[in-house]
Amino acid sequence: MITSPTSDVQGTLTEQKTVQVKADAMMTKLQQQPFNARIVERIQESPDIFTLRLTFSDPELQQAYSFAPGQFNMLYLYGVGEVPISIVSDPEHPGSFDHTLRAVGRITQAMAQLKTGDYIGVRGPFGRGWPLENAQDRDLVLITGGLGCAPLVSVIHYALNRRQLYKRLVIMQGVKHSNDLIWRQQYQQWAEREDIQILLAADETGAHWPWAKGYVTNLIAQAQFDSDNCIALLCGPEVMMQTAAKQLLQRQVPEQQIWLSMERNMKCAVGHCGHCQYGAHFVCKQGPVFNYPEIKQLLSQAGF
Amino acid sequence: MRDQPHFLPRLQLQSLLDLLIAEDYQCMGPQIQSNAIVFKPFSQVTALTQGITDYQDAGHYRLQPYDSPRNFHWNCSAQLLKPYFFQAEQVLWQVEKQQDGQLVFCQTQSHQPKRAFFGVRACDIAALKLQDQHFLHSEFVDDHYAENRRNNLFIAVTCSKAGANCFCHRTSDGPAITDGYDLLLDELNEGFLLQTGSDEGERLCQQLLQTQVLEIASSEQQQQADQSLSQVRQTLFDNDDQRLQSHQSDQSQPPQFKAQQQSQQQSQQQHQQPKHLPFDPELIRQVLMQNLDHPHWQELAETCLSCGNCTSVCPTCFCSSQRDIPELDGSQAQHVRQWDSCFSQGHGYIHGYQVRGKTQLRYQQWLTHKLVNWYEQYGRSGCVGCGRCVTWCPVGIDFTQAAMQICQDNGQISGDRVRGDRVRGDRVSKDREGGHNDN
Repeated sequence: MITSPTSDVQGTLTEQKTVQVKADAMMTKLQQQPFNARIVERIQESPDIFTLRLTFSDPELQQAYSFAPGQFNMLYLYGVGEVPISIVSDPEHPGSFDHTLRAVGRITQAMAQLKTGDYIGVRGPFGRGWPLENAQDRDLVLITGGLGCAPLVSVIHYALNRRQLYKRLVIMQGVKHSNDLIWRQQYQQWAEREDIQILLAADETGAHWPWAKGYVTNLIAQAQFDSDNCIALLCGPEVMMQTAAKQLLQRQVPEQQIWLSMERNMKCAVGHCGHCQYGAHFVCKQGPVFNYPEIKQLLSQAGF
Repeated sequence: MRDQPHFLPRLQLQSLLDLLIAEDYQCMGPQIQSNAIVFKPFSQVTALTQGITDYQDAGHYRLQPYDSPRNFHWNCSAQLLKPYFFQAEQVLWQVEKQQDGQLVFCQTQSHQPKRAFFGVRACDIAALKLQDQHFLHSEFVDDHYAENRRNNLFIAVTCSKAGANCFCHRTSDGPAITDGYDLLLDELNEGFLLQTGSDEGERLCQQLLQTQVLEIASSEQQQQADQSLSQVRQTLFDNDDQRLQSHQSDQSQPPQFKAQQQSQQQSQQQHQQPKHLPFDPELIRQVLMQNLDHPHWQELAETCLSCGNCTSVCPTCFCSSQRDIPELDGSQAQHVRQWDSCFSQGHGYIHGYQVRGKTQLRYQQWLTHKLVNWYEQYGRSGCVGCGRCVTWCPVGIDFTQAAMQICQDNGQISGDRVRGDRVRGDRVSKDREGGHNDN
C-alpha cells in the first residue's frame, strides 16, 4: 500500500484524536461511577493521618486520568461508602496519585485499616482547583490550618517542581498540637531554602518545638511578600481563613488575589445532591476553591 | 382565544385512554388512596377521581364530595410527579467484590415504559422544568433522571378552582398552562376542551379526529373555559387579601396587647397602603439574605418540628443522600441514592461539625434556597406556588407568610413594588390591578 507523507500525518492526527476522545469518554465515565484502584503504598503520617498512594487497575484508565491541584476524588470503601478527599500529589507524577486522610469519620476511620495491596474505588476528579495559571510570576502565599495543609501540599509540590514560574514562596501552617504537624522533615528542608519562607505555629506545643506558639494567623505580619504581586491560597477551618483574609486585606492584598478552599458535606460530587450548597454555590463543582469576593458575604454567616 | 378548539365529550375520555393504551402508553391517573389524590396506573376512566374536590389549608388536606361529573375539580394532588423522574430511591451503581479483593463496578440502567400522565397541573409542569434544569441542563447530566424523562406524555388540566394554599399566580407559573404539555384539557361539565402542545400531542389529536372522537368546540364552550380561568385567577387574588388580613391579625402578641395596638396598626396600614402582597419572589429575594438575624426566624424555629415534610412534598426539592447496601455474603453491594432533606441531621454534617445544628438555621437554608439562592443557581425562584409545603406542614407553617413577615417588618413591601413585580406577561388584567388599588 502506498501512502503519501500527508496522509501519514493525517493518520497520526486521527489516531491522536481517537486516543483523546477515548480518554475523554473514560474521564466522563470515571465521574459517574467508581473504578477499581490499588493501594500501591500506605504511609502513616501521624497517629491518625495516613496517605494512600493509588493507581487504577486498568492501565489505560491510569494513563488517561488527569487532575489539577486542589481537585478531589470520591474514595469508595466497599460496603461502607464514599468520601471526598483532595488529591495531594503532583498532577504530572506518572502512574499513581496520592490522598492524605485523617481518620475522623465513619468512612475515613474504616479506611485507616487499609493496607498496601488492598483495593478501593475512585471516582473523579471533581471541582475547581487552585488558580495556578493566575499565580505565575507572583509571590505565592499559602496559609493552612489543621489538615488543611493536604490540599495545599499539592500546590507546594507543584510550585517547587516548577520553581521558575513563581516568585517568593511563603508557607504558613498552623496546627492544634505540635504533634499534629506532618511532613516535618519536608518543612525542615524547605525552610533551609532562601526562596521559601516557612512559618509554623501550634496552639499547644510539645518539647523541642522550634516554631511559634499560637495561631497561624498571628504570623501573617512576619510573612514577606509583595502585596501588589502575590496570590494567597488559604485552606483550613473557616474562622482561620476569615481571619487570615482580613489580615491579608489589611496588608493591601487585593481581594481578588485571595483564594479559599471550602469544605461541605458531599454525596454526589456532581452538583446534584444539594448537600454541599454554600449559599447559591455548589462547593463540589463551583469550588472547592473559591475567590474571596465570591463568598465573603457568606463567610461569617452561621448555617451556610 | 384558544388555538385549535377541539372538544372531547366526557363519554369519549375512555377513547383517548384506549388510544394511548393501544399506543403502548402506561397511563397514570389521579386516583384516591387513603383519602388523598395520588397517581396510579389505570385503564378505565371510572378509576379516576370524580365527583370530589379537595380542601387544603395550612396543615389541612381533606377530600370532599362535589356534586358534579367532573374528574379534575381539585388542585394539586397529594402525590408529586417528582418520584416518577427523580426517584425516591435509586440504585446508582453496583459493585462486586472479587476473591482477590478487586472491585468491579457496574452502573445500573433504568428502563422506563412509555408513560402518559393525566391531570397534570400548571405547578407540576413548572416544577418539572426546574428539576430538568437541575438534573439535565446543569454541568453534569443525571443518567437515571434522563432515562425517566424520556417517552412521557403529559395530559395537563387547567385548574378549575383555587385552593387556599395556591399561589402559582405569584410565581408566574399559573393558573394558565402555557407550555410543557402534550395535550391540554379544560374541564367543563359535559367534557373537555382539548388543545395540543407538542408533535406527539398533535399526532394523537389527529388520530382522535380521524375516529371522530373529537368535536369542534363551540364558542360558548370556549367562553366557559375562559370564564373558569378568570374566576380561578380572581380567587387567587382574593385569597391574597385574606392572607394579608389573617397575617396582620395573627401577629404573635397577646390579645389585650393586640387590642391596644389596633388603632396604631390601622394608621400604620394606611401609611403603607396599598400592600396586597403576601408573596413577591423578586422582592423577597432581595430582602431575605439581608435579614438573617430577624427575630421572626427564631419564632419560626420554635414552631417548626424540623420534620422535613415540606421538603418531601416540594416538587422542586432535589436533595439526596447516598448509602451503600452490602449483601450479607460480602460479595456485592448496591450504592443507593435516597431523597434527603435540608432538615435532616446529616445534611450539613462535616466530620464532627454541624453546619446547621439548629432548626432555625435549617429553616433559613430551606427558605433562602427556595426564594433567594435558586435565582443564582437557575435564574428564577425555586418555588412554583403549589402550596404543598403549607398543606402538609404538621404545624401549619405558611412558607409565604414566613417570608412576608421578615420582609414586611423591614418596610420593604409597598404598593409600587407589588404592581411592578406581580407577574410576568399578560396573566393579570388591568381591571384586576385597578380593582386592587381601590380596596
